[in-house]
Amino acid sequence: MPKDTLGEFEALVLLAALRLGDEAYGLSIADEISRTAQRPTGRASVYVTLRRLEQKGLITTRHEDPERAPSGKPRRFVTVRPEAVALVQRSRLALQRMWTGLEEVLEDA
Amino acid sequence: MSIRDLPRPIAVLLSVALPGDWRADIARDLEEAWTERRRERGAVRAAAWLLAQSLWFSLRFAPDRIREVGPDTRLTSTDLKLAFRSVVRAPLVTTLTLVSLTVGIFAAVSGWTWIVGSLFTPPPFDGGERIVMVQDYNHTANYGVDVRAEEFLRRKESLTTFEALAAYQQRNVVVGGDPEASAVRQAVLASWDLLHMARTEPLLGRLPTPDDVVPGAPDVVVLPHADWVTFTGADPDIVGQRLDVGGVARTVIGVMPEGFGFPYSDLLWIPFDERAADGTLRLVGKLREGVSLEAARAELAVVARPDPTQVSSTDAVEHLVTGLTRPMVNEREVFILILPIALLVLILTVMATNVANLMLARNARRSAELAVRGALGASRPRIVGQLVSEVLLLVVLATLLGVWASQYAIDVFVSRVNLPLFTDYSLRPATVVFAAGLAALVTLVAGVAPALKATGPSPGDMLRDGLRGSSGVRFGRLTGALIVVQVTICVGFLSAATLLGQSLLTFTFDRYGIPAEETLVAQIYFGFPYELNDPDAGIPPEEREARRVAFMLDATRKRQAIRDEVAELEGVRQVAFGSRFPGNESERAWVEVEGSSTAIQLAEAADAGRGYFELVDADVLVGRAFGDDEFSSGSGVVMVNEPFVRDRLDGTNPLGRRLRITPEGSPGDAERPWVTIVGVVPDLGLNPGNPDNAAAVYQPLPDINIVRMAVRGEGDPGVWTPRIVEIARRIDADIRVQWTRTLADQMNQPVAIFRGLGVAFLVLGALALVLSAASIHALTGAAVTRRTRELGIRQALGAGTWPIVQSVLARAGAQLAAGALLGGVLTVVLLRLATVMPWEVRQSNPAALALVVGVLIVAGLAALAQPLGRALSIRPADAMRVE
Repeated sequence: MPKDTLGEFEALVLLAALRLGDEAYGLSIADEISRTAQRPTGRASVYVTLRRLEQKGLITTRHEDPERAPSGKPRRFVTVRPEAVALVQRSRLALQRMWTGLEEVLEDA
Repeated sequence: MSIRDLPRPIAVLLSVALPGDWRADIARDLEEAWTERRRERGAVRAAAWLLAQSLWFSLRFAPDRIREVGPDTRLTSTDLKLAFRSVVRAPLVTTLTLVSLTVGIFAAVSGWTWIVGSLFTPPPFDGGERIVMVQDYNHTANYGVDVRAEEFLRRKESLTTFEALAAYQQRNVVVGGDPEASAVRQAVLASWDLLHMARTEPLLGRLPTPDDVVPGAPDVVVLPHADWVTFTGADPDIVGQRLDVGGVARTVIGVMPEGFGFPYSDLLWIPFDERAADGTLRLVGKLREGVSLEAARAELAVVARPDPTQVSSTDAVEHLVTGLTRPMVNEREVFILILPIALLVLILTVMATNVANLMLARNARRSAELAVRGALGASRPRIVGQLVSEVLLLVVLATLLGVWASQYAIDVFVSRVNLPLFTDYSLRPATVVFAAGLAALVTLVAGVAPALKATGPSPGDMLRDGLRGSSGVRFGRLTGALIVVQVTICVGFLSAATLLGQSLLTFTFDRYGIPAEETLVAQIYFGFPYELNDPDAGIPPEEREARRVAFMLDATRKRQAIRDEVAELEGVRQVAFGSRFPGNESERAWVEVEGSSTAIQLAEAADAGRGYFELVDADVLVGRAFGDDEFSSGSGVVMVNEPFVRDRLDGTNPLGRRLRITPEGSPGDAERPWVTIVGVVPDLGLNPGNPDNAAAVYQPLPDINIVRMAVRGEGDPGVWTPRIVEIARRIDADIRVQWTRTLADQMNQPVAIFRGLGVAFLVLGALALVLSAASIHALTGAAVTRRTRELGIRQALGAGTWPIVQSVLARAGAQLAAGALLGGVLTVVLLRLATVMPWEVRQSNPAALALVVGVLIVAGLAALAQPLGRALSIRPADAMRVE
């Protein structure tokens, strides 16, 4: 049963997975967050979060075809489920609403 | 894809720390990143990164793992019931495990209790941790430097880091005027404020005050609780009454509470004016709050002016300020004393690893059962928990038994010796925590590790292995190395025990026919004018020698006077002096035989006074005893014992042969005169530990200031002690009767200690042997089971008996050989260490070593016979069937 809200890091992991599309797996998600969000990201945190998201039913995972894996060892790719996309959207809307009216204050700060 | 592609320690860590559903994927990704990093930054940095990542992953997943695994690892009553059943079903393994773990925990807890109880027990009163001993030590001359009254008073005046500084002298005193009810007790003549440092209220009366030590003040005494009970029958009105202490009627001013002792246990206190004190003082002080030992030492080094008669300007003198409970131990040395505990914990760990081997082999045989459990839904943690609970049951039992036995043994020991310092060997919380830590360590090594290893393969593999009667569990290099360590300990300890045991376990003084039960030995010290030893004292050499000779002659006169009076005591038949009697520490001298081509050799040496040989019932076998006129220096005569004639003179007539005897420190001093052999006596046990090297020489007892006196007669020899002290004091108040004991006690004490050591070695060695044999048996058996198919195929391909035997025994044989070799090295090390003991231990004995090797071979064959028989009975059909 998916929860109604997302933690900040959970949201970042989901967004990174959405950005990577079919190439989203643990290492690439950690790299994507580091590169795009410009914040140091521990791999362990990414895996802990992925496992939690999978248990919540927000992502599904699949192993790639061993023959196509560069090292012969299949990676575990992540697919974001529609419920998660809805949660991310809701999270963005909540943040946008909270921003409204604070542009001047926050931009000056 | 497998976690095993990572380095083994990392793989083991991750296999425990990561959740099963993501473990392989995370391992794969880590391996990918590690490979890339290795290419970019080199192997070492990549390895460090991998280790750090693995640890971080383990930490990050820890909360999830605890939440998930926790309920599975919780022990239930069913688990315990199953564990109990499993333990009962294997009585041999259970007994072996229980005995070895109990012995290991007993040894480690005893060592811990002893060291912590002896060294870390501050005096049990307010501010006790600030009480210190103050001593000077001359490292150049290797002795403690005496402090006299003047120096004490100067230090008391000058030292600002001390809240108080007191002096004391120790004395033997006879307490109780009635000869039938008196006894020799230890007392301290002490500064009046000594007892005030302890901040303990007396049970009755008061503590001493400055008025008690002014000239002309009445003689007073403060009694310890035990003496109040013994000598006054716990008289509640004793304060103000008089008691005979040291021949003086002293007024009792106070009685201290039960258990109180200061600065040592078991003392009476006699206040004295230290300004008028004659002789050496011992100093005890109390540091001001917040002052460190280092600060006190630094100040003392500036203030102290050691006695110039005992310290020359070039001598290295250390000013020691040490905690009262560890007078000879400073902070650095405590570390050295902790080492034995570390060694005992190491031995326990080796024992635990052996138990781990047994468990591993047992778990390997249970592959099918474990697989079925897994297939029925039991998680890995659940199965691990079940396996661990079996070991845990035994560990808990062994810990309880070990701690109980340790407390019992220490109680028995403490009740037999008079401990001089503050000690507390009761079961402290720290000891319980230590024992719990040991139990956790043993459970981890002997329970968790084999369980993880046994449940490592997938349920499918385990089931397949189990059904075909083999096991997928592999025994690694570590397992093999541990067996080698075990065999090493076994060989080393058994060899040492055998060599020690030869001279100790079978030893008895009875063979010398010495009347030990009816003889009392006392050590008497006549003092010495220390200024004669000081080259800077300005005494001309001739005068120094003349004064020294005069002092020694005076000591001899007093000695004769003591002898005459002691001989008159009721029940006493004989009195004799000597430098040593059987059971005293060894003294040796270099002996050169005139006209002999043999190099000079060491022999036991003793000085015998008048009546020495008659007292120990030793007949003069050849020649004569010393004449009355020969007890003076330069008499030029010597007596030898039978072993000397046999070993050093080849059995030839000894009478008239001449010897040159020089001290152990100056071999072959040509200045020494030759002395002539006048008589031969039997071996009187001067070197009882090694009768094959018992050659001894006896010289007439010279004029010396420290002697041993033997008193023989009827009845209990113990009753003469107070009379002897009394006589010595009457003749000269400075004469000290330093100790007395029966000859039987004196002879049995070293024997008991070394017998104990020999038995301990034997027990540890035998235990190590049994454990090694059991380990080798279990692991070889499990290896044969694992290799059933391979051995069957070998048979089918025509392999003869010998190749099969070779392949089965290769590993165990190599382990035994390596262990035997290293055990030989350990034996040499142990025997080298044994040379520092005052007991001769043979350095080699082919028969004893052959016995140990023989025992090892028999034990090895016994351990391997059954698995080998099973391997040889495997037929090709068996291999086909298991497939």
